[in-house]
Amino acid sequence: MPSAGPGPVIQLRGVVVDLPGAAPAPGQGAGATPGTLRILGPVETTLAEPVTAVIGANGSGKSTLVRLLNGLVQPTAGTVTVHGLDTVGQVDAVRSRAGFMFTDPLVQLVMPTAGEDVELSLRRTVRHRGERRRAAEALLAEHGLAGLSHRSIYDLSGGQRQRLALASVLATDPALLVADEPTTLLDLDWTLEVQELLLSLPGTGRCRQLVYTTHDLDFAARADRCLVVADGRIVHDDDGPGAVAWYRRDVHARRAARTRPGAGRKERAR
Amino acid sequence: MNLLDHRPGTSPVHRAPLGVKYAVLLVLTVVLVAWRQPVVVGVVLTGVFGLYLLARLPGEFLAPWRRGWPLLAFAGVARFASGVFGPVPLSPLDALGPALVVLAAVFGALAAARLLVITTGGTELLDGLAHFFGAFRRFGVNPEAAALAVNVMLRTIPWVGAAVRAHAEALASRGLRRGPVRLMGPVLVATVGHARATGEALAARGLPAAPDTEDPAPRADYTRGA
Repeated sequence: MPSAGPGPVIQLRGVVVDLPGAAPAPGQGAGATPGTLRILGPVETTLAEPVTAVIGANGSGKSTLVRLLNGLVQPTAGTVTVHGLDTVGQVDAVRSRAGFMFTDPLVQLVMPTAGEDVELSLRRTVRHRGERRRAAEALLAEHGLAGLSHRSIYDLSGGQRQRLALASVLATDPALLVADEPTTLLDLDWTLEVQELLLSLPGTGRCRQLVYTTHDLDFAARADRCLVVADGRIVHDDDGPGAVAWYRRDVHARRAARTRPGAGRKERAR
Repeated sequence: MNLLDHRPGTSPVHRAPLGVKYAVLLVLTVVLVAWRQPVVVGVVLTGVFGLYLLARLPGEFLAPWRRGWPLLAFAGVARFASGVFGPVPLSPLDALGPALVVLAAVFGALAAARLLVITTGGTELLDGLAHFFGAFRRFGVNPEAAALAVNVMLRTIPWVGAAVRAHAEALASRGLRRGPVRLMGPVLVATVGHARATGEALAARGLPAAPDTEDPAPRADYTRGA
């Protein structure tokens, strides 16, 4: 594993994401200009660890934070650089090295059959059609999907679909893999399977870094570093087990505060 | 199975070059549209059925009718109405003939086009389309993007069908009667949402590749940095 010198880093500098045309709900902040809603920021952090997890409540800004890393969301203010590349000015270069895995594989799979979807990812690197087909078959076999290349993506099981989505993303050999709740829709067996695979990625092939969001705290605890996001800000930053322990205490403390007499609905809105 | 899903096979129709398939489709469609004589339409329809037989998919010939008959019937009714109420009014009996011919011609063209799609693999279709759109490169068309757009559109048709079913079930589960007006709004919103999500997914995969960036330059650049 070539890990000499400073490894690749992701930098977020004063990053703010405002959403236009939405009135702030209770507990949400307004953006810099009137009529905008602040959904993230300001965020200031540097990610250099091989595996980073992001946890937090629904709607806290986790997804927005990881979408920034692929240029799917552009910062309203501040800069995001991935391995030295700016996600606004050099978005094509960023995307060619950062793979993104969505929660719902059906959104991500574009072609009608499993084999064709992997081939689509290979279009850029393997020009010859026959070679591309063989490469796709080999990749499918590698991910336990051998013989399914002609199967419609609608006829695969949920676990097989997520596995295929992962194979399609990995076919581009990304240096950074970003996964947004990759195991939320899977049963326990497939969840563990996908988690093991994801955690084993950094250091194999071109892949150096993995960043994922999750509600599975056991999964989050296995990361080298874990960010806790609440109300669009990073409220805790620690190694995996430390951050998960902090998050558990924080959630239980909030619940206890809510059930005390006198503390009513107002608190719940936070 | 969906109407436009690939049916793999090894028949002469499956193995024919894509260009030949498109040429045959073009000829059949032009004849059907331009030469609406009952005999001609009958002969072309028989020819299309012959191609289905040759592809060893005879059972598939009537599938567009089974799934899309209201649309085809509408074309027939429209032709019938324009015959009866047109500038030269025909008796209903005389208007019936042309209406049936139009119906048969539209069906024949649909069946022929569908045969091309279901006997050609998605990747081959994509390559063929990219090749075709390459001719428009000088007008600023990105062939890969245009081919991908057509492919995504084809793939989305079954998705919209599934969305209609899902929303009809949601209405039924709340004890509401399903109707086209009640369904249209939510299905439209869901479809726009799906389009956005698909666009995001394509963008996340770096697709479509910007024209003339076939060389994966960032790779070389990265090994230098690591």
